[in-house]
Amino acid sequence: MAAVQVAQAPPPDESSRSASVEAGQTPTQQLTLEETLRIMDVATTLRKEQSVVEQQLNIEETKAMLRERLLAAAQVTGERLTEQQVDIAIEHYYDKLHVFEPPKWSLSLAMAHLYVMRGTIVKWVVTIGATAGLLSWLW
Amino acid sequence: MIGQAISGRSIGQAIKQATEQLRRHQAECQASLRKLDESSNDLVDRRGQTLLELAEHYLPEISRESVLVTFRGIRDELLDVLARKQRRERQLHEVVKQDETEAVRIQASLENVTDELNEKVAERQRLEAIVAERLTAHQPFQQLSQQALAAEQELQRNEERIAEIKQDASEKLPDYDNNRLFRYLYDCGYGTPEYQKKRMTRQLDRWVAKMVDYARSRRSYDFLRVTPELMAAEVVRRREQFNLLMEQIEAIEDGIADEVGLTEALRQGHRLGEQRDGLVADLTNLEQQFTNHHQELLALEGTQNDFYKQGVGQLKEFLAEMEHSWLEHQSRSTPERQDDELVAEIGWLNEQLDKARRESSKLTQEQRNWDERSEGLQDVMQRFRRADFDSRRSMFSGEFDVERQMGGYLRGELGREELWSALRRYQQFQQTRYQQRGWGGDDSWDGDSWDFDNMSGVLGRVLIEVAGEAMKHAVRRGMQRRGPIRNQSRRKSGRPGFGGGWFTQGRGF
Repeated sequence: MAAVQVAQAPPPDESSRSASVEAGQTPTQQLTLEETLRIMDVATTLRKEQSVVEQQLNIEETKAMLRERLLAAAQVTGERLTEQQVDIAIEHYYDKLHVFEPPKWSLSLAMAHLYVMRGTIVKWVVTIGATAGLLSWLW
Repeated sequence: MIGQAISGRSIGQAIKQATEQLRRHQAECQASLRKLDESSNDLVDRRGQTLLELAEHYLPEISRESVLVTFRGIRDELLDVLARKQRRERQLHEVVKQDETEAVRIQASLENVTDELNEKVAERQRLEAIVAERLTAHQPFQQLSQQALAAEQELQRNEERIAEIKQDASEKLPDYDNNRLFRYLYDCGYGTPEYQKKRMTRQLDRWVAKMVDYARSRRSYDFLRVTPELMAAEVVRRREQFNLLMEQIEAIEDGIADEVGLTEALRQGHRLGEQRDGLVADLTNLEQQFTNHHQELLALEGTQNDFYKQGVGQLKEFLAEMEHSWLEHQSRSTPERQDDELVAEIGWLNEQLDKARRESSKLTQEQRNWDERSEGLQDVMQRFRRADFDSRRSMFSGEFDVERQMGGYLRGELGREELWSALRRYQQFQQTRYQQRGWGGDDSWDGDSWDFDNMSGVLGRVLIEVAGEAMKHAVRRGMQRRGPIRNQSRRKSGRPGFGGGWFTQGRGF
């Protein structure tokens, strides 16, 4: 509740901060809710990044775990899968992971392209129109 | 090696003996040439005298006085040329003598330094064994080694993974960048707080985003873009941890090495090694200088020098008017017998001179061959010294027939490159336990692609002993990672570098 109260108050300026430090308050007590949340966000991002990094650096372990799970699942379902087949499937999965899949051709895709290029198209139309207008005026 | 191994020093002696043998041949040849030259000079003198007599007989327009004056002038000039030539010869003889004295001095110093170096190598080996023994028994060292090698293996795996993911990213990212719809959404910050579009545009953008499955694609794109960098940063942190472990290990090694005196022995050894390299270089330069002076001396004694050309020019000018054929013609056209005898003598003298000239050219060719062989053998000896083949650790296979090889070279059946390649083929340095190539007990690694100069052979060997042969690659990688850093820190602390485990450039000490 104290943090909320601090958050409701206007952000303290440098002079008031130094005054509160002099009054014996620790820097943690001076943080606003916004600042605290921002620090928390940074910490969470760092943790997530670290987790991704760890996972990626230990990719072989992740693959081995996945392999065990798949083999166990295959045993339960009664599907006859060899270790080699599972390995190939895992490699294939990782190869395809993060691959960009472009949308299939359709009329709406063409429209979408025209939409995202609208700026360029307008520029061209204006340039051609202006040139044509200028030429007709000269004739 | 098969059969009784031959020491490098004996082979060096054999080369020196062959060099002396060649010098004797050169001297003999030179003496014969000198003798021939002297007899040719007598013949030329006699011919000149006879020609002069004949000229006085047939050239009434040249008075005896004028001929004598001209001849005396020529003779004075020739004597002057000869005096200058002799002066230069004396100078060169002195220089050659000085060169020889200096060479003897350098060779003696070289032998002393080589002996000291051989002793220092033995001392180094003894002290290395003590350091290795103490390291092996050092408990903290063992623990740290295990940790460091595990960290190294982890680092290696991580680096391989980073290379893999970077490759993956470089293959997959262009598809995202080249897609106009994805790029449009990415550039306008769709899905982020920066996205500012309103109403209609926002709706249409949502429609486009759905088409390219933007949320998933963006996650993948960010992953491919950012993750390799994050991983690289993490590996840098892990490398620092590894470095900290290795620093502790190295500090233990340095401490023990200082204590037993290995550091001091290395310092002295490197100093001696530098001295030896310097002396070998000096001797090479001196031998080159000696060869140049010797060749100039030989040229002065032969016909290929400026003094000779000058003298010949003057004589030719003088005798131009007294062609033998012209005098012979004159002689036949007169009834007197005296001129016939003179002409016959000139003919005989010319024949003798031709014969001497032919013999001289044969001897000159022979002399040139000996010179070439001598120069070649000198070159081989210089390479032999530079490669430290004369060190105590240098051994030649018992199969190497040094007498046959040298004999073949002296007879001209073998060139200098063939001789050198034979020497290299049969030569080996006795491996010590702590030289890097011996770490694994074999030479199967592509050792040349590794930078050994900054590594401690003792530490490498002990780490393998502590961690097991299976870890030898991790040890080598770890040592290689640390090499430049350790070398720098040793330099800062005033300790000598490892120099690849050798004291000289030739790596025989």
